[in-house]
Amino acid sequence: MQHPDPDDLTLLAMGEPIDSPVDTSIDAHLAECEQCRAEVESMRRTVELAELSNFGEGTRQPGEHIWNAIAAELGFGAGRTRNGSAHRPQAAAGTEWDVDRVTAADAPAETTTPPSPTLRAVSGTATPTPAATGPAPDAAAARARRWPRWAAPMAALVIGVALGAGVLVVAQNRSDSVTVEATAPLTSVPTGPLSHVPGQLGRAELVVTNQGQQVRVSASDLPSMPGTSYEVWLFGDDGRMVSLGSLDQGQGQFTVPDDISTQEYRTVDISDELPDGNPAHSGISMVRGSFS
Amino acid sequence: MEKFRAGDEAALRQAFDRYGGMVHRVGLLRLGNHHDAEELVQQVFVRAWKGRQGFNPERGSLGSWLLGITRRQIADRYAALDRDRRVLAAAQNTAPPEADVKSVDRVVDRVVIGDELNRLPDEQRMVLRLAFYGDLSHSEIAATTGIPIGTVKSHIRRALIHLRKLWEVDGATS
Ligand SMILES: [Zn+2]
Repeated sequence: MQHPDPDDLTLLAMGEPIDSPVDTSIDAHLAECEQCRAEVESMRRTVELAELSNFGEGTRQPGEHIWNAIAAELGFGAGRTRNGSAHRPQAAAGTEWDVDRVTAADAPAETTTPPSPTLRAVSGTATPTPAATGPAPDAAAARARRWPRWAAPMAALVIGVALGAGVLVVAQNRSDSVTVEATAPLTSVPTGPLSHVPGQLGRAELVVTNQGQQVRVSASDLPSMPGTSYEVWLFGDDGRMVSLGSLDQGQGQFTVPDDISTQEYRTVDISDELPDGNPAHSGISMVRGSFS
Repeated sequence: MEKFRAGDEAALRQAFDRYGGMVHRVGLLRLGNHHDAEELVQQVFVRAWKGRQGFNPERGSLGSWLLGITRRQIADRYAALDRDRRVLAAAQNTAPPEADVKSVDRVVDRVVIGDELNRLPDEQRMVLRLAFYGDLSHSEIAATTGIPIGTVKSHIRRALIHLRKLWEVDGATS
C-alpha cells in the first residue's frame, strides 16, 4: 500500500485543509490504513499539547531563596552554593546528564553589585537608562546566547531587584531634570499568552525631561526568548495606536511623538512581534497598563 | 551522571537550574499559586537528592525522572486535599468533589513541550509560532517568511516529531 506523504499527514494533524484531490485520497487512505490513522492521531495530540503550552511562556526560574531552602534542608554549605560559584568549573564542564548548556553559574551576579561612581542615587525620580543598570547590551547579548533560555528572565529579575533597591539616574548632566508625571503598572492581558501569570510584570512611567516627554518602560519579567521582539505601543482613547519602539533587555525609554497627546494616549501596551516584517501590531499583547 | 548519584552538590544545582522552572510551572498550573509551586519545587529537589540512588540514566533522562517525582508529589497533595474534602463534605453532608489527578500528566506534558519548543532550532520554532499564534497555514508561512514551502512543511513535521518523542517516552516510563 502506498502511504500518503508524511508531511501531508502532519498538516492534517495541524488542522489544515489540504488541497482537495490529495485530501480525498488521504481520507480514503486513512479509512483503510490503521498505521496512518495512528500517526495522525499522535501528531494531533502533540499539536494540542504544543498549542496549550504557550511556548512555555510564563515559566520562571524559581527564586534563589528556593535553592537556599533546598540547600539548607539538605545541609549543603550555604555560602558556597549560592550561584553555584564554588562549583563553577564542574558546572561549566558538565555536558553530561542533559544539562546541555552552561548553568546559572554564569549568571550575571555583577548586575547586583553597587553602581559605579558615575551613578548617583536620586530618590523616586526616574527609572535608570538601560545603560545604567544592566551590562552593556553587546556583552549582555553575548552572554544571553550562552545562557539557558530561562536564565535571561532570571537575570532580569536580578536587575529588577537592583532597581528596587535604589532608583538611579546617570549623573553626567547636572541640569538633567526629570519629572515623573504618571506611572502605569503593567499586568498581563487576559487574552494574551501571559494571561495565567498574575501580578505586575513591569511598569511604565510618563516623564518630562528637558528633551521633552518620554515613556520609560521596565518589563524585565517578560519571558526572554530568541527571535522575540517586544514592541511598546501607546493606545489612544479612540482605539488608535502608535508604536514607540522596541524593548532592549526588557528596558526602554522612548520619546513621545510631538503629535501625540498623552492626555488622549494613556495606555501602554507591549506586544510580541513576529519577525514577519509587518509594522502593524501583531495582535499578541503581553502586558498592558494605563497611566494614572 | 555519576556525579549526581555520587552526591556532588553541584550536580543538584545544575538540575535545579535546568529543570526548576519546569517543575515550578507544572506546580503553578496544577496547584494554582506561586507559593505552593515554590514549595513543590523544594520538595521535588529535596526528594530527588535523597533518592538519587534510584535514578537510572539508562531508563530515561534526568528530566523525566524529576517529572516523575513531581507527579507523585502532586498526587500526594491531591490525596491529602481529597481527604480534607471528604471530611469537609461529610461534615456538610454533601458529595465530595472529584480530585482531578489524571490531568496532572497532561499538564506535565504541556510544560515539557513548552520548554522544548523554546529549544528548537530558530527556524523551526518560528514556523511553529506562526502556525500556532499567527494561525497561518503552511503556504501563508512560506509567503510571509520566504522559506520554501517544502522546507516549511518539513520544519513542522520535524519539530512535531521531536516534541512527540517527549511525551511518548515520558508517558511510557511513568
Ligand atoms: Zn497508510
